[in-house]
Amino acid sequence: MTTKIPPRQPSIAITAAGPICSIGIGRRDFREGLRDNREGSGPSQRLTDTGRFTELAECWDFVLEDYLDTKKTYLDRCSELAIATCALALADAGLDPSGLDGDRIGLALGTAFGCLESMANHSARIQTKGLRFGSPMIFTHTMPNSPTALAAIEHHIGGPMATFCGADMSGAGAIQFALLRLANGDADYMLAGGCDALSTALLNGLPPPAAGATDFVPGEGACVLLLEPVGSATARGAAPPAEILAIGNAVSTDAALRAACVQAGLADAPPVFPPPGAYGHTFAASVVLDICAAIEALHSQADTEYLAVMAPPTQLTPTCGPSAAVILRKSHTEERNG
Amino acid sequence: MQQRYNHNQVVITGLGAVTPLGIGKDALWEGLLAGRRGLSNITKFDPSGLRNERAGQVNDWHFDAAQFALDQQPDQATQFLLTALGEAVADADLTRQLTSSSEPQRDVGCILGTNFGGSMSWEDYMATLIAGEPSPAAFADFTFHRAIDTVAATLAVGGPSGQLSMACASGTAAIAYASDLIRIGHAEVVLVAGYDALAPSHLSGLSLLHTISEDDLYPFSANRSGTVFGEGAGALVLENSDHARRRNIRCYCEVLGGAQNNNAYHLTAPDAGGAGMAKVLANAIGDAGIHPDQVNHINAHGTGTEYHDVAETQAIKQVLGSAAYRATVVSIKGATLHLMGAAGAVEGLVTALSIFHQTVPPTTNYAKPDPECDLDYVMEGARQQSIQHAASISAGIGGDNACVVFARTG
Repeated sequence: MTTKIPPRQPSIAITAAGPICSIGIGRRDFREGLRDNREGSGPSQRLTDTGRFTELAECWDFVLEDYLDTKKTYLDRCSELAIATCALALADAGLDPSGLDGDRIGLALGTAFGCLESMANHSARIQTKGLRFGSPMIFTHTMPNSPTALAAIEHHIGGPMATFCGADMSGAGAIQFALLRLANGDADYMLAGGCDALSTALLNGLPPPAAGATDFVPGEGACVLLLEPVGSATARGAAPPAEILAIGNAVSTDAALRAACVQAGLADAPPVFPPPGAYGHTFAASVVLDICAAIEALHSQADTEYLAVMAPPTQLTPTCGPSAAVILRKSHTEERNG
Repeated sequence: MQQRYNHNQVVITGLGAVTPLGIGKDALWEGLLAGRRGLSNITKFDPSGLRNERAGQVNDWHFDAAQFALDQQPDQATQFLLTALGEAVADADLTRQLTSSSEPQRDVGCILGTNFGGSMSWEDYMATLIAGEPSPAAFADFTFHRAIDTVAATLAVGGPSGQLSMACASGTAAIAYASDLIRIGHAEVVLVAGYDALAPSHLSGLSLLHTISEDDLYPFSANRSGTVFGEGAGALVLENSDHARRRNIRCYCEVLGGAQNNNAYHLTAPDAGGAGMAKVLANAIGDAGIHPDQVNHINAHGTGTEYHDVAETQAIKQVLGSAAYRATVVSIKGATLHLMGAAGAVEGLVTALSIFHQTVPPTTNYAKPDPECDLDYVMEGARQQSIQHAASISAGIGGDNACVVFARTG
């Protein structure tokens, strides 16, 4: 491959985040959950049929009504999480979308499985009663892009939009898309991340854990990052905790990390951040939650300037599939609140 | 108008298709020019209860897994994908490089688009779940990422890869994103495809929404009453123009720019005046670095639904101004039917062929003029036309829109 001079692109700041998972909701709660080694897994409180899994990492304290302006007739769990994580990220950034140009704020979400609960609901009605007996209302909530669309409608986001559904690295794919949009000047802000929800259909469809494996705990969660050029973030008085230097996307973890280092102009690969595992395996949300955890690690380790966060091939098809590597750099402008 | 953040030129060097008009891009193109239609009775499952028991089914379909070095038959949607992608790769003269190499090619990526993934496998999985004996194997074949993983297993794709799902804008969005990756130097070649298969669950849902016509698909016509869906796959090989030049490979056209957005209005209803589509068309033209009146051909979304066709016409007029009446605006859905996640990729492919052959296919099954849809929809049959710049527009449930702008090369 011809070596290219990396095109000049603006440094992209992570100004805010909206993590939702089993150990915390919102950046402060998530940080405290990590610090306190909060227990994230347990029997489901929401699902009666969890397949062969007895331990799950649900979003235990999640109350949708905390994040909605109006009551909705129906929402899939994945859409609930998508709307809420965007609300949290915007609040964390101190941004009110109604005061922004909606065409200049975009949204990219990754989801490994989309709205499986609604899909199963709709399909079960059809298979048991006939094609005439599905629900048109529920059907509109079965599409993989409906969480993104509903979050866009709720938060008046009309800029660049994308939904990625490539398993665990969907969240990284969404972030990569967001970086390109900001670099191209297509948006002033991009919300980007991942969300996935637990459901009976998912838990019964997952392959049995490998013999002897005890550490795979299916989880649900969502996290979007609010991304913007560093210059515009500091100009409006924001204090981003970290910057994204690059995302490498390739067929193996090594190749992804190599590609990311080339893009970031780093001669040596930074240390790879080990996922905490505290919030279970949250599929497309995993890498984004890991980014949030890595940002906390960056600021707790005085001599660490860079970290790499990996989105390996999905455990569901371990033989092949793309991987991603995200390289973060510590920003020194945020005041750390304890 | 200045292009932004563009460092590499992107060209299209390979095309492949599986559609209700037949297997292969030649069957598609020749069928379009001849005004043939892919509408037939649904036979792959019992359609009783649907608003329309006809669709664009791919008939007489056979797939040999061994030909793709697979141990078992993948989901039918993935079969369509692999077949179209194989043709596109061969058309780009990359078969030897991508199938014989033991090392994944780090400068070759893959971006796919789909609405429903392995939709027939989902039906199989749901049957096992309802029966109380859920099948993880059927679930795995349904999953959206199964296709991208299968492509990685059959072709030596080692570069940036991803899977998009943006309803019926998926295919066009995949082309736009793939061109981004080449423009900024993350890949030299990106395989792009959109694919979907007809299945009971989503046809039922679309039927219940009255999106499907009880009659037929009449794009932009006064008697339109809804769309009719179909299945298949469209595949394109996008390539860095320098890389293509070194390989001395024929280029169909250039991909100049693209855009995607959301109406942020309603899950199913179009926004007033097609505002979201107008913005995506304007943004794509801006990204391409040309003026709106330089667009002289549009491959429209043109679904034959009551509100969408007039909204799209309004959007085109808003962006192109008086130039809208000088451009040709074609919907191929009357011929191919609405191919869901494959639609944008097939329409991008047809736009590339239109530019390459300087010929515009007709809007097949256009029936009756509508004063609200008063553009040149090429009703009389295929037309020789000078095309320098063309746009392909797609829109989907959820309010997602995507648009790609193409240009003649040489």
